[in-house]
Amino acid sequence: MARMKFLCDAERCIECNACVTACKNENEVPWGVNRRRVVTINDGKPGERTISVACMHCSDAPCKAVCPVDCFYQTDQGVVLHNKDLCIGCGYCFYACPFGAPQYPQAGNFGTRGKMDKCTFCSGGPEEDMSEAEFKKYGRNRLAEGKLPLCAEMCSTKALLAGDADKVSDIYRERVVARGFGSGAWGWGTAYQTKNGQERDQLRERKQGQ
Amino acid sequence: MTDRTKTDKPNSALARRDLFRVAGLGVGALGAVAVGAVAVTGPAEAAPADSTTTTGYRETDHVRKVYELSRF
Repeated sequence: MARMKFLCDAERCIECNACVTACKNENEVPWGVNRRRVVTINDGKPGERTISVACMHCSDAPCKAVCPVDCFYQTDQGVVLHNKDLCIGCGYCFYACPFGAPQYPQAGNFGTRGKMDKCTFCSGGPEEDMSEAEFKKYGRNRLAEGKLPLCAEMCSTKALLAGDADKVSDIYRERVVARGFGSGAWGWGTAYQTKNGQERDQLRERKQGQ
Repeated sequence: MTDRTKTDKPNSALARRDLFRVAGLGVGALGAVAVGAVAVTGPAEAAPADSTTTTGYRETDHVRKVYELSRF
């Protein structure tokens, strides 16, 4: 079973924000929410890099762990989604997420609370695939159309990779071997590995096998 | 003596002004062929036949192309 993952190659990101714009446009994301952002690390210092950040669809998602109404679920392919009909807007997931992915729409100066919004890996939500209701609540379902998230497809330098973890890591590995440095896939340790460096997916599969 | 106006080649199969008419017919025919070809082959990004059973991620031609383009 393919596991969906994002990978941002910090050596390639040129901070063009095309991924941010593409996501916003494709999913008609409401005002005040950016499902994807480009972040500068070590700003103004040697080694400054930019990375594109959104929900990383963690193997053991903290947002899912803290949700009091259990509105988060993970698909067989590892995509973390949520049900907006169940969400009560408590904001716990926002504080739990290490990437700041879940956000609330902000229509006024003081903010308006409502249903949390987050990246869906362009795979919609619990509604019927490619239905009008799904699009209004969660955005486009490109996975059901046989495509990948538009942010990654649009990336001009292919710094942002999305798709099957095996394919994505193979592509990144080839790049690291070719350039001879830069094996730190930003965010992967936080999202997909334990503190010991073990892959969470492998641990889960092992547990399921027992 | 060198007057070569209307009498020069009076029965030519393709007169000068007929060129546009013939060219127009040709473009129309090409368009019809192109529309027919699209109708037969369908869009390039069409999902494989199993798209009705699988709704999540699957490796379509589109996805394979994205992976291929990322390898540079």
